[in-house]
Amino acid sequence: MPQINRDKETLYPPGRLSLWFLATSAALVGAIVWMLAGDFVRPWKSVQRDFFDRHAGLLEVKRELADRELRAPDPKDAVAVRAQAELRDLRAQIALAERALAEKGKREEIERLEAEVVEQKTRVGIADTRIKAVKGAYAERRYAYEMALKAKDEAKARKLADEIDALASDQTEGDGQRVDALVAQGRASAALDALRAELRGLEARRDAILARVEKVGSQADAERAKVERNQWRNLPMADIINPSIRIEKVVLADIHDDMVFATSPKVDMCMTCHAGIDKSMLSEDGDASTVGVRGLLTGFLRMRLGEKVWGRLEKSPTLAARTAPGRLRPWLTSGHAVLFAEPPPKDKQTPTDDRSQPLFTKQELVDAFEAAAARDGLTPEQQKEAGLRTFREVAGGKDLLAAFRIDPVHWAHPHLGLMVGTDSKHPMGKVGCTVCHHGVGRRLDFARAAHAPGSEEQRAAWTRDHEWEVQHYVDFPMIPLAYVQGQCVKCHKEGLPFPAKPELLVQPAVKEKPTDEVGKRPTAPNPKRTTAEVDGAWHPEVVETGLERVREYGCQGCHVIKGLSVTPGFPRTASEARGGDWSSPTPGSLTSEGIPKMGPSLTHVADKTTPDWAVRWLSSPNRFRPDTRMPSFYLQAQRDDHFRLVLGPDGKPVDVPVVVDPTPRDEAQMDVEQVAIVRALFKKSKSRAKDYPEVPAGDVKKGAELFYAQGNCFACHVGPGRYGPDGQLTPDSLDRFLSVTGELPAGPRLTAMGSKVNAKWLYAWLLEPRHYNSVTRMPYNRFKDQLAIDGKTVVRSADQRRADLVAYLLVFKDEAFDAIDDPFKRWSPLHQELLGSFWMEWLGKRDPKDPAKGITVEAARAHLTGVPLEQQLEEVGDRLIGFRGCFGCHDVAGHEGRQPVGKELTYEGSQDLHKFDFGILDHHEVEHTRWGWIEAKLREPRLFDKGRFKPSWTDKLRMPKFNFRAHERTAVTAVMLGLVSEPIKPGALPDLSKDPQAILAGRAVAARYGCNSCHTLEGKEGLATGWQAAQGLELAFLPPNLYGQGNRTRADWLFKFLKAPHDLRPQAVQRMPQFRLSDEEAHALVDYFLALAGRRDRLWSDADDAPLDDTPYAQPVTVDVKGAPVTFHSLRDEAKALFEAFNCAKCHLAKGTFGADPEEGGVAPPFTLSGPRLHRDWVEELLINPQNQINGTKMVQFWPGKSKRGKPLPPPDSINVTYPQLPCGARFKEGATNDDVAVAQMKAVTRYLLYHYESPKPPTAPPSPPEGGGAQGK
Amino acid sequence: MAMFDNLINVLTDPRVLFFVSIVLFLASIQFASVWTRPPIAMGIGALLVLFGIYASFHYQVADTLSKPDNIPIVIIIAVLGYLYWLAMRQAVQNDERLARGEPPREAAEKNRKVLVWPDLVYTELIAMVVATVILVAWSVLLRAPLEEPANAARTPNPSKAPWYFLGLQEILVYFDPWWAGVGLPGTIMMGLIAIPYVDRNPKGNGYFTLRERKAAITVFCFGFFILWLLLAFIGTFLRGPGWNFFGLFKDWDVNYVAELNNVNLSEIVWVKLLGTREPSFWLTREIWGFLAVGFYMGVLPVIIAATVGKKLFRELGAIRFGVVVNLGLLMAALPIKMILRWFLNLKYVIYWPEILLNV
Repeated sequence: MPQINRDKETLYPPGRLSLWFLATSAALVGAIVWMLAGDFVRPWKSVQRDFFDRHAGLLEVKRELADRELRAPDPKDAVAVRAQAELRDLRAQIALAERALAEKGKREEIERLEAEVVEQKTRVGIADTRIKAVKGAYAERRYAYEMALKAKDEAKARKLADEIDALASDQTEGDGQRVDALVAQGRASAALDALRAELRGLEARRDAILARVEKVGSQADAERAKVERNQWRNLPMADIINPSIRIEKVVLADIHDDMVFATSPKVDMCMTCHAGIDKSMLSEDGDASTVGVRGLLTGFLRMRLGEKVWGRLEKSPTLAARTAPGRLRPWLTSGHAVLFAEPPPKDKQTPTDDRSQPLFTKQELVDAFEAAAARDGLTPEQQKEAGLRTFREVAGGKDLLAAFRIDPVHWAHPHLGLMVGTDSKHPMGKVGCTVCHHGVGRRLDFARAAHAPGSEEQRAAWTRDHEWEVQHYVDFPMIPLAYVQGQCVKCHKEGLPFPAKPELLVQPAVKEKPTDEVGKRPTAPNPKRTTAEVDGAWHPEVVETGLERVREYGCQGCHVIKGLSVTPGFPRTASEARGGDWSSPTPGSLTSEGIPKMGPSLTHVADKTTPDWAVRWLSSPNRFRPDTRMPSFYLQAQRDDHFRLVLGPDGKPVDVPVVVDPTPRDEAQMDVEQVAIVRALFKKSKSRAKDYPEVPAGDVKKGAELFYAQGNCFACHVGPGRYGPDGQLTPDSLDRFLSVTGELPAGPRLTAMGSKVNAKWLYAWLLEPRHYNSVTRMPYNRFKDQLAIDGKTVVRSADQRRADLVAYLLVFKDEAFDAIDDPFKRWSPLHQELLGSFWMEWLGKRDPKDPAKGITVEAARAHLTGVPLEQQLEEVGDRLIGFRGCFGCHDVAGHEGRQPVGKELTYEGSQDLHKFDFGILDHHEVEHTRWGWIEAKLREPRLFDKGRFKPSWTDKLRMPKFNFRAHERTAVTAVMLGLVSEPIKPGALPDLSKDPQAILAGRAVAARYGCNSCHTLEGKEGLATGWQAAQGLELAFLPPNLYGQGNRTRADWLFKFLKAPHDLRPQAVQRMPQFRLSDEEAHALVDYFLALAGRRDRLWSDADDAPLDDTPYAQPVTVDVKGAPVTFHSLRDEAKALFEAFNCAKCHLAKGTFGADPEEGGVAPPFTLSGPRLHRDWVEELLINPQNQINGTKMVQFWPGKSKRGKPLPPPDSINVTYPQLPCGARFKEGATNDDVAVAQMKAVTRYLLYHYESPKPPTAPPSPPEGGGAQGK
Repeated sequence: MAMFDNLINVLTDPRVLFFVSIVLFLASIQFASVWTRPPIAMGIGALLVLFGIYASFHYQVADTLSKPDNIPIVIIIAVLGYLYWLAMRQAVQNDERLARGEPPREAAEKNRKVLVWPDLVYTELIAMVVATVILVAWSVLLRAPLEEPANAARTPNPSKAPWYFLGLQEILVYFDPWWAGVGLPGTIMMGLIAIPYVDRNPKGNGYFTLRERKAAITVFCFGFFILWLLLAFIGTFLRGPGWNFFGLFKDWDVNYVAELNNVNLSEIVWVKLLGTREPSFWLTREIWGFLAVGFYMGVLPVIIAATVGKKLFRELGAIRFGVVVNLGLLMAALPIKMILRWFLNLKYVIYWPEILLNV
């Protein structure tokens, strides 16, 4: 209550009010300054300012380097030395030329010509003016003339017509003047140019050299100007006009944010802070036109330390470790990057990846300085002094690297060639940032842009330093880096169209191998069987793994995922009428989406195995096959110690299994389910066993041999093992696959088949797998009778050999597994009660006699009491098969074409977070994010039932548990996050030109049938081949490397061969099995090989196929062949003689046939196949150097010399034929060399072989006709 | 501490808090002369501040408090608490003076004139500057609580109005949107406009007094504190996911489920009491509702005029009495409906979807 100032006029003394006013006004000024300052130091502005400084600093370094390259180039850098020398020469020549031009006569001439040019230009100008004036007058008169005619004013019209004529002739004259002047001007200019031409050329070359420096310099200047010269622009208040520190953004017209009832283009402002994100200079390596940070750093050090010191230091191992790819960036951004430090104490050796380690130790630097001084011939004292002086000069000390300590936010995006880079497939302006990373691209605040920390430490650091917090209101917060690759799937649902890396398609030259012996592979298997190197230094392996797992583990059996990673040839519709075509699927073998089911068919399961085995298997598949892809529906497996055989690199299990303790009631429920399902399956199984042939008695040891050699089995299956000479069994192991690929084999483990299948079924299965499962990937193996040396007597028949294999496989049993109790033996009243409740829960709803009708509970109960236990089990079991979704992966009779049981996942990644049911688990138990949920679901699929009260067991979660390893879960989660509904317009979708598409499709087929198990594909070594070769088998007899297959064989032949393979190399160890490919699949493979070879435009034949010319020579050629003169009349004559002289038939004819070498015959593929099979240019290349085309071949190199493309070849290793001097037309060429003759000979021989060769004796039978049941496609 | 927390959770269940607040409010009027004494008032204030500090350490309260849009309600609670004490204190003092036959404190100022400049304009200017400074500081210190672009398919849970609308949003729970959004707010305004015309009592003009205007002060403060501020407080602090009630210290569990099977009066009478099905014709079906409302708005004023309001009726005359009583009854309808909802799950007294109006 203010006291009333009774003595004065006013209520408050004015002086006091003014004081108040002063104080509050001061506060107001302060508040406004505070506001402006707050705006000026907003984090993004500071970050950008910092970037400009840093970038300008680096550009300065770069300019200095480029400058120095010309002024004082590195003597070791030949290009720079040459450039500098050339520049010096040019400058001298320019000076000379200028002096020559300045000579008296020439100068006058030039002056005259220059004056002439100017004069003629003036004349052109005058003529132009005149023409313009005439044109105007002409148009006006013409209009007046037309009007006069219309008004029938003839006198006026006549007058005007005269004027028009005059004007027209005026214009003609003007045109003439103009042309004359132009011609004269051109002549004078040309004469001038001729005089100056020499000088101009010199100047142009000089400018080109200087441009390199200039460009860098002007870049640096421009960038520096942006910050330094224009600081005024960035002052508070002034910065509303045109500041250099400003928000950078891209608007993505083709990619929209989905807001359900509206969409809006994505807007990303990320590059406001990440200002260097697309600048290759800020990447580790730079690109073709720009040097990267590594180059800058080493160049800078070299410049500062001097060549001599650097020469010594650059070999330092610490330097190498620091600047190694992938290491440099973390080190420079760690905040610890220093040039040198005292050496660490001996007992405290830090590992090289410790980020606080310097680039050099101090001792290294001192040594280098002293050594450099010594080279200058100084005494030790002087050396030391000189070294230390330089040392002090260099070292603003340890802080020499200050310019290179680049903040993580300023670095360029990795793999600029693929992502973000201007020339990449995903440039910033088209794809932006949040498309892959999510987060809020329109926000500049660190926390509110919803950055995602990659680790707990980072989370803590961000919370501390950047006020980071979880953004609850952001629908799509940034995705942790581990999952980002999954966003590729957003646009690339079919897979990633990475082109094959050309280098990987080239056969490694033999001489590069660490063995002298031609044809033998290096002793150590190549550990890098990976395509990680494709396209730059990177390949998105996470998303590839994820897509592969989704496909291989049958996710799409239970979940519809539209358009994801579909194998070519699918989806397709199945038909009942297979017409004996083993390649067409039966209806039950495809999911409702037309994708082949991943598990074996169960329609005839009773033929294959016993109910006892099936119950045990169902209770815990892992116990029988630790590496099976079949998931565990019943949770016993999780209590089993050895269910997870897949180990980490340290030999310990990768995951710690979550232990779930079922109650006795749960266990009883599992028992009931397992028994019921198996009863139903076996009841429904249609038997064909009566048609199966009897199995002859087999030989176990012979079967083992077959398994690990010709049978090909070992390429896809882990087998029981091999017998040594002493009869001891060496067990096979999964390591054989894991150690090479890190992946599981394509086929199931076969170590205990004796516990599982019966002999008759296995024998029939080997005879034709597709009789049992119409979409199996198991091929028909073309077993043939084993013949004696005469080629006729049957030593062991094909049937017998199959029986050997059956005998071998069935010897092995898993006794521990066989001993598992039959749950039916535990049958108790509780089981009976549960069975009743199952029964009521479904059957109570539908009449078992007529499933279309419902029945009342009473009727159902009456039915239950009326039927025997066996029937109850079967009826419940059949419903359970539907409920558990068994039919998603297996063909089960009565469940064909059913809709999958799982939720559709086509847009799972866009699913609102609140629609993920976290149950009652809080965020400490499961991270409440999309990825947290999906990871947890894959790890422990029924986790979210924890603590929930679900008395009705059909309410419980159903998803079974898959044997995923941690990285696989991450990969699958990443892929799931990429399944989004974001509207992406065609402009942003991948434009797959034909080749990448074909490669993608072919890779999918090759992956499905495991081609890579035997064959080397795209540089990935064939696993089985590698394993065999490591044991000393010769490459020549192993499955071929398929590099350049598209160049090698003709497409039509390849297609037929893939559909129905036949024998090629008589002595090969293994035989290509028949995969029963559909036409689509075979086509996809052929296209794939053609695309890899870059040959798809020349699909079915060589463009320039031509037989040999048979027209007689004008003058016959006579040469000395094997000591006798022979005359040749045509090119074909010569070719034939040459062909015979090389005695090709010695190896390329079947043994025992006419013309073949009786000892060596039949070593190589018979010639009868060559014509329809091979491409001409490939055969030529083969003849030039066989090892370059077929690794380890026994083929002899006949000609030394150069390849067609001019590449020098290594000297032939094994020339055992001196080629006769048949010129084959080369003599018609002027100055033909030996090389020319060789090339001509090769061409002639090739053509002779492909177009004219006739077998000395017609083959008695067509070459190995395709076998197996039924008609072949085409 | 857990016991204390639980006690607070029970007390801050809105169904309890509502009655507790009413009792406390009435007590504050009744015992104004006691608690407004500075030592006692300071003691109460200190306890409340201590409780506030304690509460703000609790996760859920801290989370609510830290939202920039909730700052004003905290300021309002603090400021109004102080002002209520100040007014009451002065009223009590004046009452004592009046009882002693002295004039109220404000009487001294009665004939005093002040100048427009500097006493009015200059102080206003200073006040404007101070307000600007506060607003600038506020805007620099607190970020605008922006969320994602609006998406009709993804609404936040709970979806809350700005703090100043939370009282209205709370009324929406109990009334048809027409009433809660249009009818009642309109009536409040009409009522405020009507005050000078119906209240011609000159006592208390220009000075604070409680004894002379006890009824008027009680009714006004009840409307402002209980029916407005308390509802806004409940909306801010005690309404969580699913618009469920949560005690002050209870975590807002999104999985929490509360049984809310609300029924209409017609259903209660026809189905539950009479055991028949509801008639299909709306008038027959809702006849009980019409009767109840008719009784409440039509008959009850007459009864009041004849009984407890006899004196008031004489003073005001029929028309003004009618206006006052009807306004008062409408005001009372809000807590009555709330209580009926909480304890009888009553949804509407008259359920009349045929004309989109329910009562």
